[in-house]
Amino acid sequence: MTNQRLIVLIAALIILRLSLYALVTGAVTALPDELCQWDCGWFVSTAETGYNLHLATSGVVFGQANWVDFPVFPFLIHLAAFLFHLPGPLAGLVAANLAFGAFVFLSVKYLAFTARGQAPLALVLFLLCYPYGFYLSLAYTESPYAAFTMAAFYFLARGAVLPSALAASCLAATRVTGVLFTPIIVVRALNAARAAWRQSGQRAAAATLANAILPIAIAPLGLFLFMAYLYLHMGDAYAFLHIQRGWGRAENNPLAVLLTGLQTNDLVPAFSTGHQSHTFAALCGLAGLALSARLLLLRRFAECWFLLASILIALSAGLLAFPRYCLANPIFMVGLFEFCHVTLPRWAFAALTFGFLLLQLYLIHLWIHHYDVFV
Amino acid sequence: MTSSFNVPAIALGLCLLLFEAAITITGAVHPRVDEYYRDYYITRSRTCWLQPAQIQHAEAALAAPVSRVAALDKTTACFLLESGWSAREKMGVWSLGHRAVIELPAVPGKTLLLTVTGFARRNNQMITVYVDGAKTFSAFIPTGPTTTLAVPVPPNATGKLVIAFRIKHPGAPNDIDTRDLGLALIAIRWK
Repeated sequence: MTNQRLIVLIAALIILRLSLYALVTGAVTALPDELCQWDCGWFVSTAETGYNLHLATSGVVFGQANWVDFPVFPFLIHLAAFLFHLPGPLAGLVAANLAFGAFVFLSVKYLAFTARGQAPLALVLFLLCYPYGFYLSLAYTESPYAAFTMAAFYFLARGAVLPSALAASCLAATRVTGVLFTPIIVVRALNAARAAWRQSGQRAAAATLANAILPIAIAPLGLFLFMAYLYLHMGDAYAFLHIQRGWGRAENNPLAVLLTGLQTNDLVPAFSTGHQSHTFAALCGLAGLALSARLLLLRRFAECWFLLASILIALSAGLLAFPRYCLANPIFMVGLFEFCHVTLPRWAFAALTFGFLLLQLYLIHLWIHHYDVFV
Repeated sequence: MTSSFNVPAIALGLCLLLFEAAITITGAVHPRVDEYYRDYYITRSRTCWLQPAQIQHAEAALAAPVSRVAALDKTTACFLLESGWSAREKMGVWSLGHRAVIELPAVPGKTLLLTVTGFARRNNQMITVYVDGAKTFSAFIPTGPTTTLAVPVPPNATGKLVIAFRIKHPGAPNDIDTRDLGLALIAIRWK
């Protein structure tokens, strides 16, 4: 499939998916507002008014601030609003879905380049139908995070280290876990230096390592630029971490959090209340750990590291909103596709994909009715 | 495999690494925030974040002749109990570990009397009291009965008083309550 055809296909399917959302919600013009729930308001607000100078001193947001929102996605929303003259929620929807399209495209290119399957249509359909993929169409950081992750992996696989580092830098400015790509670039540099030593000797190894300093420095740069901005703006470079306390979050042992979630045993009661299930969140964690183990066995160490570390960091902050950090992780999604595509017969894979679509539409229904049992 | 060093790229990379290190260290060591933000969000020593209006309210409340710790409102208790304290109980509040700090507004011309009790696995609990960082006196606090500590307030003290207690031998009372207790603050009096 040519790139142009692939792009057109992806765009058409995303539009179709959004149309299905409109059908489910019963709203067309109000779709952006219907979908803009929970954290979406924060991103749109940050895009419109910039970062808070002080903590909120009243209301439900008392003691909170938008320093937890990394700058890339609010910037993309702001850009979409500016370029297309769109209101906030619609600009967020547009920015998110453009990034989603980029993620799907890059995933196809990545799998094709790494020779792990030549089923682009199956991958595209899977990602579009995947239940938690709905987050990538909402004004949330999931889609730019996914797009920059796949860009970083893709460029690195092609040996384009500098573009990979630039993508990683944008990733680091999208979410704090984006900085986890930096060790991947460091390890690649070390492997390259080792290979250079074997092939050409000490000087070649030294040159390889020295020349890797720039991409290694660039990879986390997005995070540090944000930290520098926060320090100049309100005095705390680590405000994005510290402000978590405003939501009652604290650092915990991730495995202890997982165990506590499993022991809570609230999956069935959650159905009746419609509110978040800690057991479900913990089960998502187990699925993430299982997929990480699979990646490790397949010797895909970089992907394993990225997924596993992201899951553990997310778990350490608690189970609130954890399902999306795990199940909407781009490496998880692509890894799950590979597992299903390899393991299942064609008809079963097709049935699964269709089932996923129905589940996704059900989740959208829960979403717009403010049920957070699975989200 | 190339053996040539890309000097401009290496130099740029080193500058960026230097910048990143500088931000990491400066941000950690020298945050430019007020003490209440720092105490709640960074060091997490306080249980709440205090704003100016709440601080004024707490200062007024603590300038009262008698304040029972258990009866203080949440904001005033949060202001008073700066760090090293457990959750408040009916009788007052226990210290946790070797160091506990209270903050209260200095009332000029008055003597500060603290009603306390102690806990020690053996004999009495030894504490050392520091006022605004200066070691002031040491005392043995018996386990069980209450004791009154007279804390000398510097005659020209204005603004905030920081009183730190160094507890020599904190310990857990039993297998159920495993907190490291040492000193319980029950009431504050200005005389």
